[in-house]
Amino acid sequence: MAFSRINLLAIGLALVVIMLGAFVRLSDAGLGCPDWPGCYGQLVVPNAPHEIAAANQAFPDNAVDAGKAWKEMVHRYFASTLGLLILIMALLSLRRTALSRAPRLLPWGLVVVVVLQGLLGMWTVTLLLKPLVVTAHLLGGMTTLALLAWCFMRHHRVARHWHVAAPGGLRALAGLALFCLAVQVFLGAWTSTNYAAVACPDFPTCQGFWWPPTNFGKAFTLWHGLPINYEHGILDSVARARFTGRIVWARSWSRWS
Amino acid sequence: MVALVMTALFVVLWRHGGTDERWRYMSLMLLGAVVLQVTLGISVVVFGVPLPVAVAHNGGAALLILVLILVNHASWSAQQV
Repeated sequence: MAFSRINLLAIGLALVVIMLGAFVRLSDAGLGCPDWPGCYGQLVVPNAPHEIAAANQAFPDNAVDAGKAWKEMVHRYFASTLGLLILIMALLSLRRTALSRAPRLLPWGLVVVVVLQGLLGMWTVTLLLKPLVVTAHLLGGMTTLALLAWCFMRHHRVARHWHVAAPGGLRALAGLALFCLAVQVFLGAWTSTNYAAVACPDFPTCQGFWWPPTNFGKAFTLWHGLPINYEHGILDSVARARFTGRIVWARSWSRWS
Repeated sequence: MVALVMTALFVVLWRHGGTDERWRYMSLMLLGAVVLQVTLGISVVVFGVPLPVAVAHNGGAALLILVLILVNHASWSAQQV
């Protein structure tokens, strides 16, 4: 049962990593370290005066901000540990005999997903918080969690003996609900990574409108090109208002329809 | 759309709780998670994106995903009536 225990631990850790990631992002620490995987070239945030001086010299446009850098690095440490746990799970899955029903595809699929997540984490920094990358990174984190949960349920003995009946329509409905949730999470991430969360200060109307003026094309331009620093958003406040108008409309519609 | 689907799912799970109470537990988990997330979401907007609420909203999303994975796994591995 070591596999299931590590699986459960990984689920807990994934939740922590997700929340840490949100914390890094929402406290504007996403560019706390201008490089990856080190921080100003080091494994640990520079804190001795000579380290900080060397770091500032190597990265003249990004002066060391220890607070931000630490948040970023703690997130990376926890995420790396999660990656390690997933690798251990995958290796464990190889050792099982034909008699046990340990999944193999899932653990190795998870390895691929978590490696991709690491890369997305890198691109978050190197592509300067490009909304599409940060959104993908959030979705990747959720996907990792979802796969870990699915793996646990497939493997754990309690879930395996689920001898109950279910109406046919339930499967489709459950699948649809998960899909809708995925779309909703994407919309939420897109709002946040484009710094549009405050564009509608009121609720449920948006700046007084039930349906504010929207600009779908601009709001959903996925790729603005490189290199642009996206910190604090590149759209002006009017565009952002329309932007969120669109998002909030979509979500209000989903809530009140 | 999301609300509609979630409500439908809740109703079906609740009613199916007649045959096996585990479905009913799942419907309650779903309800709890959705209510929590909606409350957090509204709070984020109304209170101007306070940091802890926004982080919690992210966590709430993760929780919702866990619940839906649970419901899906149960639905798909159950025997079809």
